[in-house]
Amino acid sequence: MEEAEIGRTGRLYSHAIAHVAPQGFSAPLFQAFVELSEGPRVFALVGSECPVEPGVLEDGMQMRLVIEPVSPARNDTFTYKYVPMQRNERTS
Amino acid sequence: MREVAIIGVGAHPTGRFLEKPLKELAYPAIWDALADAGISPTDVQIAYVGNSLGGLLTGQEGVRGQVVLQHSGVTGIPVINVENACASAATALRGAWLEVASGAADVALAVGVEKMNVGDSARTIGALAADSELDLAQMGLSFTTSYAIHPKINLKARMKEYGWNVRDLAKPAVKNSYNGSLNPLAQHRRPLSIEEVVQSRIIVDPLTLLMCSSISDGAAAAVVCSIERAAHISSKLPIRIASCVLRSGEYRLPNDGRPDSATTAAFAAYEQAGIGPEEIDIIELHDAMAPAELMLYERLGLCAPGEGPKLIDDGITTLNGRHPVNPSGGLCSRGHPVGATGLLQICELVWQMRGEAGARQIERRPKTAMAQNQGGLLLGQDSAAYATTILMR
Repeated sequence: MEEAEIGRTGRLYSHAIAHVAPQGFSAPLFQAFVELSEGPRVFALVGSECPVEPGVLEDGMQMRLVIEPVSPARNDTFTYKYVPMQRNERTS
Repeated sequence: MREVAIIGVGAHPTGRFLEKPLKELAYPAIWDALADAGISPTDVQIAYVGNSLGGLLTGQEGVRGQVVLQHSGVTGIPVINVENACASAATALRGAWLEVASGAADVALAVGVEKMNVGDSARTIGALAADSELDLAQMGLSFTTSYAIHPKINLKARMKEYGWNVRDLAKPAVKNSYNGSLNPLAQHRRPLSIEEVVQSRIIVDPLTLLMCSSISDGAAAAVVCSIERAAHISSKLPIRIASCVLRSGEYRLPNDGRPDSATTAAFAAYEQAGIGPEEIDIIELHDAMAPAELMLYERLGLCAPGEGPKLIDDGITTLNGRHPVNPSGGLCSRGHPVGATGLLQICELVWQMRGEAGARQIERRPKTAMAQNQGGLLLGQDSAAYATTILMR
Protein backbone atom coordinates (compact mmCIF):
# COMPACT_ATOMS: atom_id res chain seq x y z
CA MET A 1 0.00 0.00 0.00
CA GLU A 2 1.25 3.44 -0.86
CA GLU A 3 -0.43 6.79 -0.30
CA ALA A 4 -1.18 8.86 -3.37
CA GLU A 5 -2.60 12.36 -3.69
CA ILE A 6 -5.56 12.46 -6.04
CA GLY A 7 -8.59 14.51 -6.91
CA ARG A 8 -7.53 18.11 -7.57
CA THR A 9 -9.15 17.99 -10.99
CA GLY A 10 -11.56 15.78 -12.85
CA ARG A 11 -14.28 15.57 -15.44
CA LEU A 12 -18.01 15.77 -14.70
CA TYR A 13 -19.22 12.23 -15.37
CA SER A 14 -22.92 12.59 -14.53
CA HIS A 15 -25.12 14.98 -12.60
CA ALA A 16 -28.70 15.67 -11.59
CA ILE A 17 -30.71 18.28 -9.75
CA ALA A 18 -32.34 16.78 -6.66
CA HIS A 19 -35.69 18.43 -6.02
CA VAL A 20 -36.21 16.57 -2.76
CA ALA A 21 -33.39 17.20 -0.32
CA PRO A 22 -31.76 14.49 1.77
CA GLN A 23 -31.65 15.14 5.55
CA GLY A 24 -29.34 18.09 6.32
CA PHE A 25 -29.55 19.59 2.82
CA SER A 26 -31.95 21.96 1.10
CA ALA A 27 -33.40 21.54 -2.39
CA PRO A 28 -32.74 22.10 -5.16
CA LEU A 29 -29.17 20.84 -5.13
CA PHE A 30 -26.74 19.42 -7.63
CA GLN A 31 -25.44 15.89 -7.08
CA ALA A 32 -22.75 14.48 -9.33
CA PHE A 33 -20.20 11.83 -10.10
CA VAL A 34 -16.80 13.16 -11.06
CA GLU A 35 -14.17 11.13 -12.87
CA LEU A 36 -10.90 12.16 -11.29
CA SER A 37 -7.93 12.85 -13.56
CA GLU A 38 -6.23 9.87 -11.89
CA GLY A 39 -9.04 7.49 -12.91
CA PRO A 40 -11.55 6.70 -10.13
CA ARG A 41 -15.09 8.07 -10.21
CA VAL A 42 -16.40 9.58 -6.99
CA PHE A 43 -19.75 10.84 -5.80
CA ALA A 44 -19.47 14.59 -5.22
CA LEU A 45 -21.48 17.64 -4.37
CA VAL A 46 -21.05 20.81 -6.40
CA GLY A 47 -19.51 23.91 -4.80
CA SER A 48 -21.83 26.64 -3.58
CA GLU A 49 -20.42 29.19 -6.07
CA CYS A 50 -22.26 27.29 -8.79
CA PRO A 51 -25.96 28.34 -9.16
CA VAL A 52 -28.34 25.35 -9.11
CA GLU A 53 -30.05 25.81 -12.47
CA PRO A 54 -30.52 23.61 -15.50
CA GLY A 55 -27.84 24.19 -18.15
CA VAL A 56 -25.13 25.33 -15.69
CA LEU A 57 -23.41 21.94 -15.71
CA GLU A 58 -22.73 19.71 -18.67
CA ASP A 59 -21.39 16.17 -18.46
CA GLY A 60 -17.79 16.05 -19.64
CA MET A 61 -16.85 19.51 -18.26
CA GLN A 62 -13.49 19.93 -16.56
CA MET A 63 -13.92 20.37 -12.80
CA ARG A 64 -11.67 21.48 -9.96
CA LEU A 65 -11.66 20.69 -6.26
CA VAL A 66 -13.04 23.04 -3.60
CA ILE A 67 -13.26 22.33 0.15
CA GLU A 68 -16.49 23.48 1.79
CA PRO A 69 -18.91 22.64 4.60
CA VAL A 70 -21.15 19.72 3.57
CA SER A 71 -24.17 22.06 3.60
CA PRO A 72 -25.17 25.32 5.35
CA ALA A 73 -27.00 23.19 7.93
CA ARG A 74 -23.91 21.05 8.50
CA ASN A 75 -21.22 23.72 8.56
CA ASP A 76 -19.12 21.86 11.16
CA THR A 77 -18.19 19.11 8.67
CA PHE A 78 -16.06 19.86 5.62
CA THR A 79 -15.97 17.81 2.46
CA TYR A 80 -14.60 17.80 -1.06
CA LYS A 81 -16.76 19.34 -3.77
CA TYR A 82 -16.17 20.24 -7.39
CA VAL A 83 -16.90 23.33 -9.49
CA PRO A 84 -16.50 23.90 -13.22
CA MET A 85 -13.05 25.16 -14.21
CA GLN A 86 -12.86 28.62 -15.66
CA ARG A 87 -11.75 28.75 -19.29
CA ASN A 88 -8.42 30.32 -18.38
CA GLU A 89 -7.63 27.62 -15.80
CA ARG A 90 -5.19 25.03 -16.99
CA THR A 91 -6.12 21.39 -16.84
CA SER A 92 -3.49 19.30 -15.19
CA MET B 1 -26.59 -31.19 -1.56
CA ARG B 2 -30.24 -32.19 -1.41
CA GLU B 3 -32.94 -30.80 -3.66
CA VAL B 4 -35.13 -28.30 -1.80
CA ALA B 5 -38.76 -27.33 -2.38
CA ILE B 6 -40.95 -24.46 -1.25
CA ILE B 7 -44.13 -26.00 0.19
CA GLY B 8 -45.82 -22.98 1.75
CA VAL B 9 -45.91 -19.21 1.31
CA GLY B 10 -47.77 -16.35 2.97
CA ALA B 11 -47.78 -12.57 2.85
CA HIS B 12 -49.20 -9.62 4.75
CA PRO B 13 -50.65 -6.96 2.42
CA THR B 14 -48.21 -4.11 1.69
CA GLY B 15 -49.15 -0.56 2.56
CA ARG B 16 -49.37 1.83 5.47
CA PHE B 17 -50.07 0.12 8.79
CA LEU B 18 -48.96 2.77 11.24
CA GLU B 19 -50.43 1.03 14.30
CA LYS B 20 -48.88 -2.41 13.67
CA PRO B 21 -45.50 -3.35 15.16
CA LEU B 22 -43.14 -5.70 13.29
CA LYS B 23 -44.55 -8.87 14.85
CA GLU B 24 -48.13 -8.05 13.88
CA LEU B 25 -47.02 -7.64 10.30
CA ALA B 26 -45.07 -10.90 10.44
CA TYR B 27 -47.65 -13.21 12.06
CA PRO B 28 -50.22 -13.38 9.25
CA ALA B 29 -47.41 -14.06 6.75
CA ILE B 30 -45.87 -16.80 8.94
CA TRP B 31 -49.15 -18.47 9.87
CA ASP B 32 -50.43 -18.34 6.27
CA ALA B 33 -47.19 -19.94 5.07
CA LEU B 34 -47.43 -22.72 7.69
CA ALA B 35 -51.12 -23.32 6.92
CA ASP B 36 -50.34 -23.28 3.20
CA ALA B 37 -47.73 -26.00 3.78
CA GLY B 38 -50.11 -27.88 6.05
CA ILE B 39 -47.67 -27.96 8.98
CA SER B 40 -47.77 -26.66 12.53
CA PRO B 41 -45.34 -24.10 14.04
CA THR B 42 -43.60 -26.88 16.00
CA ASP B 43 -42.63 -28.65 12.75
CA VAL B 44 -40.24 -25.80 11.89
CA GLN B 45 -36.65 -26.73 12.78
CA ILE B 46 -34.85 -23.46 12.01
CA ALA B 47 -35.88 -19.94 11.02
CA TYR B 48 -34.14 -17.10 9.19
CA VAL B 49 -35.71 -13.68 9.77
CA GLY B 50 -34.85 -10.83 7.42
CA ASN B 51 -35.33 -7.19 8.36
CA SER B 52 -33.41 -4.09 7.36
CA LEU B 53 -34.54 -0.91 9.11
CA GLY B 54 -35.96 -2.10 12.44
CA GLY B 55 -32.80 -1.30 14.37
CA LEU B 56 -32.71 2.35 13.37
CA LEU B 57 -36.46 2.93 13.20
CA THR B 58 -37.62 1.12 16.34
CA GLY B 59 -34.39 0.88 18.34
CA GLN B 60 -34.79 -2.92 18.61
CA GLU B 61 -31.35 -4.31 17.86
CA GLY B 62 -29.73 -7.73 17.86
CA VAL B 63 -32.65 -10.12 18.37
CA ARG B 64 -35.44 -8.87 16.12
CA GLY B 65 -36.07 -12.37 14.73
CA GLN B 66 -36.52 -13.89 18.19
CA VAL B 67 -38.73 -10.97 19.28
CA VAL B 68 -40.89 -11.31 16.18
CA LEU B 69 -41.21 -15.10 16.48
CA GLN B 70 -41.65 -15.46 20.25
CA HIS B 71 -45.47 -15.52 20.19
CA SER B 72 -45.82 -17.16 16.79
CA GLY B 73 -45.37 -20.71 18.04
CA VAL B 74 -42.08 -20.94 16.16
CA THR B 75 -39.79 -20.89 19.21
CA GLY B 76 -37.10 -22.90 20.93
CA ILE B 77 -35.29 -23.47 17.64
CA PRO B 78 -32.26 -21.76 16.09
CA VAL B 79 -33.32 -18.29 14.90
CA ILE B 80 -30.92 -16.44 12.62
CA ASN B 81 -31.26 -12.69 12.19
CA VAL B 82 -30.57 -11.53 8.64
CA GLU B 83 -29.73 -7.95 7.74
CA ASN B 84 -28.79 -7.36 4.12
CA ALA B 85 -30.47 -4.09 3.14
CA CYS B 86 -33.22 -4.50 0.52
CA ALA B 87 -31.94 -8.04 -0.18
CA SER B 88 -32.57 -9.20 3.42
CA ALA B 89 -35.51 -11.47 2.56
CA ALA B 90 -33.79 -13.20 -0.36
CA THR B 91 -30.79 -13.71 1.92
CA ALA B 92 -33.08 -15.26 4.55
CA LEU B 93 -34.47 -17.64 1.93
CA ARG B 94 -30.93 -18.57 0.93
CA GLY B 95 -30.17 -19.45 4.56
CA ALA B 96 -33.26 -21.64 4.87
CA TRP B 97 -32.50 -23.30 1.53
CA LEU B 98 -28.92 -24.04 2.57
CA GLU B 99 -30.02 -25.58 5.89
CA VAL B 100 -32.24 -28.06 4.09
CA ALA B 101 -29.91 -28.59 1.11
CA SER B 102 -27.05 -29.45 3.48
CA GLY B 103 -29.16 -31.90 5.44
CA ALA B 104 -28.87 -29.90 8.67
CA ALA B 105 -32.66 -29.45 8.80
CA ASP B 106 -35.67 -31.01 7.10
CA VAL B 107 -38.07 -28.07 7.47
CA ALA B 108 -36.94 -24.43 7.56
CA LEU B 109 -38.78 -21.12 7.62
CA ALA B 110 -37.70 -17.88 5.91
CA VAL B 111 -39.36 -14.63 6.97
CA GLY B 112 -38.97 -11.07 5.69
CA VAL B 113 -40.65 -8.24 7.59
CA GLU B 114 -40.38 -4.47 7.42
CA LYS B 115 -42.12 -1.55 9.05
CA MET B 116 -41.20 1.71 7.32
CA ASN B 117 -44.15 3.91 8.34
CA VAL B 118 -43.24 5.41 11.70
CA GLY B 119 -45.05 8.74 11.34
CA ASP B 120 -41.93 10.61 10.17
CA SER B 121 -40.95 9.96 6.56
CA ALA B 122 -37.70 11.97 6.88
CA ARG B 123 -36.56 9.51 9.55
CA THR B 124 -37.49 6.56 7.34
CA ILE B 125 -35.60 8.01 4.38
CA GLY B 126 -32.62 8.68 6.66
CA ALA B 127 -32.67 5.04 7.83
CA LEU B 128 -32.83 3.86 4.21
CA ALA B 129 -29.89 6.07 3.28
CA ALA B 130 -27.89 4.35 6.02
CA ASP B 131 -28.03 1.21 3.84
CA SER B 132 -25.45 2.99 1.66
CA GLU B 133 -21.73 3.16 2.29
CA LEU B 134 -21.77 5.72 5.12
CA ASP B 135 -19.56 8.36 3.45
CA LEU B 136 -22.00 8.47 0.55
CA ALA B 137 -25.05 8.71 2.79
CA GLN B 138 -23.52 11.58 4.76
CA MET B 139 -22.94 13.51 1.54
CA GLY B 140 -26.60 13.05 0.65
CA LEU B 141 -26.42 10.31 -1.98
CA SER B 142 -29.91 8.81 -1.87
CA PHE B 143 -31.11 5.73 -3.71
CA THR B 144 -33.08 7.99 -6.02
CA THR B 145 -29.96 9.94 -6.96
CA SER B 146 -28.04 6.73 -7.42
CA TYR B 147 -30.59 5.45 -9.92
CA ALA B 148 -30.37 8.74 -11.80
CA ILE B 149 -26.61 9.27 -12.04
CA HIS B 150 -24.56 6.40 -10.56
CA PRO B 151 -22.00 5.40 -13.22
CA LYS B 152 -23.35 1.84 -13.19
CA ILE B 153 -26.87 3.02 -13.99
CA ASN B 154 -26.72 6.61 -15.26
CA LEU B 155 -30.20 6.86 -16.74
CA LYS B 156 -29.42 10.24 -18.26
CA ALA B 157 -26.48 8.80 -20.19
CA ARG B 158 -28.61 5.84 -21.27
CA MET B 159 -31.29 8.22 -22.56
CA LYS B 160 -28.65 9.92 -24.69
CA GLU B 161 -26.94 6.73 -25.83
CA TYR B 162 -30.05 4.69 -26.64
CA GLY B 163 -32.36 7.53 -27.63
CA TRP B 164 -34.71 6.79 -24.71
CA ASN B 165 -37.04 9.59 -23.67
CA VAL B 166 -38.80 10.18 -20.37
CA ARG B 167 -41.86 8.28 -21.65
CA ASP B 168 -39.66 5.20 -22.06
CA LEU B 169 -38.58 5.53 -18.42
CA ALA B 170 -42.26 5.62 -17.41
CA LYS B 171 -43.24 2.45 -19.30
CA PRO B 172 -42.35 -0.09 -16.58
CA ALA B 173 -44.34 1.93 -14.02
CA VAL B 174 -47.39 1.92 -16.30
CA LYS B 175 -47.13 -1.80 -17.06
CA ASN B 176 -46.61 -2.72 -13.42
CA SER B 177 -49.40 -0.44 -12.15
CA TYR B 178 -51.82 -2.46 -14.27
CA ASN B 179 -50.51 -5.71 -12.75
CA GLY B 180 -50.72 -4.19 -9.28
CA SER B 181 -54.31 -3.12 -9.89
CA LEU B 182 -55.18 -6.84 -10.09
CA ASN B 183 -53.33 -7.73 -6.87
CA PRO B 184 -55.38 -7.47 -3.65
CA LEU B 185 -52.14 -7.45 -1.61
CA ALA B 186 -50.66 -4.47 -3.49
CA GLN B 187 -50.03 -1.07 -1.94
CA HIS B 188 -51.01 0.98 -5.02
CA ARG B 189 -53.91 -0.39 -7.02
CA ARG B 190 -54.68 2.38 -9.49
CA PRO B 191 -53.56 1.78 -13.08
CA LEU B 192 -51.41 4.71 -14.25
CA SER B 193 -51.05 6.33 -17.67
CA ILE B 194 -47.74 7.37 -19.20
CA GLU B 195 -48.82 11.02 -18.96
CA GLU B 196 -49.54 10.73 -15.24
CA VAL B 197 -46.15 9.16 -14.55
CA VAL B 198 -44.23 11.66 -16.67
CA GLN B 199 -46.09 14.67 -15.29
CA SER B 200 -45.83 13.71 -11.62
CA ARG B 201 -43.41 15.74 -9.47
CA ILE B 202 -39.69 15.44 -10.29
CA ILE B 203 -37.74 13.92 -7.39
CA VAL B 204 -34.25 13.76 -8.93
CA ASP B 205 -34.27 14.45 -12.64
CA PRO B 206 -35.17 12.45 -14.72
CA LEU B 207 -37.04 10.41 -12.06
CA THR B 208 -40.57 11.46 -11.18
CA LEU B 209 -42.57 10.53 -8.09
CA LEU B 210 -44.57 7.78 -9.81
CA MET B 211 -41.36 6.12 -11.03
CA CYS B 212 -40.24 5.59 -7.41
CA SER B 213 -41.25 2.87 -4.99
CA SER B 214 -42.80 4.31 -1.84
CA ILE B 215 -42.55 3.84 1.91
CA SER B 216 -44.22 0.57 2.74
CA ASP B 217 -44.97 -1.88 5.56
CA GLY B 218 -45.27 -5.61 4.90
CA ALA B 219 -44.12 -9.15 5.48
CA ALA B 220 -43.75 -12.46 3.68
CA ALA B 221 -42.71 -15.98 4.59
CA ALA B 222 -41.84 -19.27 2.93
CA VAL B 223 -41.54 -22.83 4.27
CA VAL B 224 -38.93 -25.04 2.62
CA CYS B 225 -38.23 -28.75 2.98
CA SER B 226 -36.32 -31.46 1.16
CA ILE B 227 -37.99 -32.47 -2.07
CA GLU B 228 -38.32 -36.12 -1.03
CA ARG B 229 -40.11 -35.12 2.17
CA ALA B 230 -42.33 -32.58 0.40
CA ALA B 231 -44.89 -35.14 -0.79
CA HIS B 232 -45.21 -36.61 2.73
CA ILE B 233 -45.47 -33.26 4.49
CA SER B 234 -47.64 -31.23 2.15
CA SER B 235 -50.38 -31.81 -0.39
CA LYS B 236 -49.31 -28.68 -2.30
CA LEU B 237 -47.39 -28.85 -5.57
CA PRO B 238 -43.73 -28.58 -4.49
CA ILE B 239 -41.86 -25.72 -6.12
CA ARG B 240 -38.19 -26.65 -6.45
CA ILE B 241 -35.46 -24.10 -5.70
CA ALA B 242 -33.24 -24.75 -8.73
CA SER B 243 -30.68 -22.14 -7.69
CA CYS B 244 -30.28 -19.46 -5.06
CA VAL B 245 -27.31 -17.17 -5.66
CA LEU B 246 -26.05 -14.26 -3.58
CA ARG B 247 -23.23 -11.95 -4.67
CA SER B 248 -21.72 -8.76 -3.31
CA GLY B 249 -21.09 -5.70 -5.49
CA GLU B 250 -17.55 -5.44 -6.84
CA TYR B 251 -15.58 -2.23 -7.11
CA ARG B 252 -15.02 -1.32 -10.73
CA LEU B 253 -12.77 1.37 -12.13
CA PRO B 254 -14.02 3.19 -15.23
CA ASN B 255 -13.66 1.31 -18.51
CA ASP B 256 -13.58 -2.04 -16.74
CA GLY B 257 -15.63 -4.05 -19.18
CA ARG B 258 -16.28 -7.02 -16.88
CA PRO B 259 -19.97 -7.71 -16.18
CA ASP B 260 -21.55 -6.23 -13.04
CA SER B 261 -22.76 -8.33 -10.13
CA ALA B 262 -26.45 -8.28 -11.14
CA THR B 263 -25.36 -10.03 -14.33
CA THR B 264 -22.92 -12.47 -12.73
CA ALA B 265 -25.46 -13.41 -10.04
CA ALA B 266 -28.14 -14.03 -12.68
CA PHE B 267 -25.89 -16.06 -14.94
CA ALA B 268 -24.58 -18.14 -12.04
CA ALA B 269 -28.22 -18.86 -11.19
CA TYR B 270 -28.98 -19.84 -14.81
CA GLU B 271 -25.98 -22.14 -14.87
CA GLN B 272 -26.86 -23.87 -11.59
CA ALA B 273 -30.44 -24.32 -12.76
CA GLY B 274 -29.29 -25.59 -16.16
CA ILE B 275 -31.44 -23.18 -18.16
CA GLY B 276 -30.98 -19.88 -19.99
CA PRO B 277 -32.85 -16.57 -19.91
CA GLU B 278 -35.06 -17.56 -22.85
CA GLU B 279 -36.46 -20.48 -20.82
CA ILE B 280 -37.62 -18.38 -17.86
CA ASP B 281 -41.43 -18.15 -17.95
CA ILE B 282 -41.92 -15.39 -15.38
CA ILE B 283 -39.78 -12.89 -13.47
CA GLU B 284 -40.11 -10.73 -10.38
CA LEU B 285 -37.30 -8.17 -10.36
CA HIS B 286 -36.06 -5.29 -8.25
CA ASP B 287 -37.61 -2.16 -9.81
CA ALA B 288 -37.02 0.14 -6.81
CA MET B 289 -37.16 2.91 -9.42
CA ALA B 290 -39.26 1.96 -12.44
CA PRO B 291 -36.60 2.57 -15.13
CA ALA B 292 -34.27 0.13 -13.33
CA GLU B 293 -36.48 -2.56 -14.85
CA LEU B 294 -35.26 -1.55 -18.32
CA MET B 295 -31.65 -1.89 -17.21
CA LEU B 296 -32.29 -5.20 -15.45
CA TYR B 297 -33.77 -6.68 -18.66
CA GLU B 298 -30.28 -6.25 -20.10
CA ARG B 299 -28.48 -7.58 -17.04
CA LEU B 300 -30.69 -10.67 -16.79
CA GLY B 301 -30.04 -11.41 -20.46
CA LEU B 302 -33.56 -10.72 -21.72
CA CYS B 303 -32.51 -8.19 -24.34
CA ALA B 304 -29.57 -6.34 -25.88
CA PRO B 305 -28.50 -2.97 -24.44
CA GLY B 306 -31.07 -0.26 -25.11
CA GLU B 307 -33.92 -2.58 -26.12
CA GLY B 308 -35.79 -2.47 -22.79
CA PRO B 309 -38.60 -0.12 -23.81
CA LYS B 310 -39.22 -2.27 -26.91
CA LEU B 311 -39.79 -5.34 -24.71
CA ILE B 312 -42.70 -3.50 -23.12
CA ASP B 313 -43.94 -1.97 -26.40
CA ASP B 314 -43.96 -5.45 -27.98
CA GLY B 315 -45.78 -6.95 -24.99
CA ILE B 316 -42.97 -9.41 -24.19
CA THR B 317 -42.92 -8.52 -20.48
CA THR B 318 -46.61 -7.69 -20.01
CA LEU B 319 -48.86 -10.01 -18.02
CA ASN B 320 -49.48 -12.51 -20.79
CA GLY B 321 -46.33 -11.91 -22.83
CA ARG B 322 -43.53 -14.41 -23.42
CA HIS B 323 -41.61 -13.26 -20.30
CA PRO B 324 -44.04 -11.54 -17.90
CA VAL B 325 -42.08 -9.29 -15.52
CA ASN B 326 -43.39 -8.16 -12.14
CA PRO B 327 -46.88 -9.70 -12.36
CA SER B 328 -47.38 -8.70 -8.70
CA GLY B 329 -47.00 -5.03 -9.61
CA GLY B 330 -43.32 -4.96 -8.65
CA LEU B 331 -41.75 -2.70 -6.08
CA CYS B 332 -43.50 0.46 -7.33
CA SER B 333 -47.08 -0.90 -7.22
CA ARG B 334 -47.09 -4.03 -5.05
CA GLY B 335 -44.85 -2.12 -2.64
CA HIS B 336 -41.30 -2.29 -1.30
CA PRO B 337 -41.19 -3.01 2.46
CA VAL B 338 -37.48 -3.38 1.98
CA GLY B 339 -36.60 -6.35 4.20
CA ALA B 340 -39.68 -8.28 3.01
CA THR B 341 -39.44 -7.66 -0.73
CA GLY B 342 -37.36 -10.71 -1.70
CA LEU B 343 -39.90 -13.08 -0.16
CA LEU B 344 -42.88 -11.12 -1.52
CA GLN B 345 -41.35 -11.85 -4.94
CA ILE B 346 -41.11 -15.57 -4.06
CA CYS B 347 -44.75 -15.64 -2.87
CA GLU B 348 -45.94 -14.18 -6.17
CA LEU B 349 -43.92 -16.67 -8.23
CA VAL B 350 -45.16 -19.65 -6.20
CA TRP B 351 -48.79 -18.52 -6.55
CA GLN B 352 -48.34 -18.06 -10.30
CA MET B 353 -46.67 -21.48 -10.70
CA ARG B 354 -49.48 -23.17 -8.78
CA GLY B 355 -52.20 -21.27 -10.64
CA GLU B 356 -53.37 -19.44 -7.49
CA ALA B 357 -52.74 -15.85 -8.56
CA GLY B 358 -56.38 -14.86 -9.04
CA ALA B 359 -57.18 -12.03 -11.46
CA ARG B 360 -53.50 -11.61 -12.42
CA GLN B 361 -52.91 -15.33 -13.08
CA ILE B 362 -50.83 -15.85 -16.18
CA GLU B 363 -52.80 -17.99 -18.63
CA ARG B 364 -49.89 -20.24 -19.58
CA ARG B 365 -49.06 -21.41 -16.04
CA PRO B 366 -45.31 -20.88 -15.55
CA LYS B 367 -42.98 -23.86 -15.18
CA THR B 368 -39.85 -21.78 -14.46
CA ALA B 369 -39.51 -18.52 -12.57
CA MET B 370 -36.84 -16.06 -11.44
CA ALA B 371 -36.71 -13.67 -8.50
CA GLN B 372 -34.09 -10.91 -8.62
CA ASN B 373 -33.61 -8.87 -5.44
CA GLN B 374 -30.84 -6.41 -4.59
CA GLY B 375 -29.90 -4.04 -1.81
CA GLY B 376 -27.60 -1.43 -0.37
CA LEU B 377 -25.40 1.02 -2.19
CA LEU B 378 -21.66 1.09 -2.79
CA LEU B 379 -19.52 3.67 -4.51
CA GLY B 380 -18.08 1.28 -7.06
CA GLN B 381 -21.26 -0.68 -7.74
CA ASP B 382 -24.87 0.42 -7.71
CA SER B 383 -25.86 -2.17 -5.09
CA ALA B 384 -24.06 -3.98 -2.29
CA ALA B 385 -25.97 -7.29 -2.45
CA TYR B 386 -27.46 -9.14 -5.41
CA ALA B 387 -29.67 -12.20 -5.03
CA THR B 388 -31.12 -14.34 -7.81
CA THR B 389 -33.37 -17.34 -7.21
CA ILE B 390 -34.71 -19.69 -9.89
CA LEU B 391 -37.77 -21.84 -9.19
CA MET B 392 -39.07 -24.81 -11.18
CA ARG B 393 -42.09 -27.10 -10.98
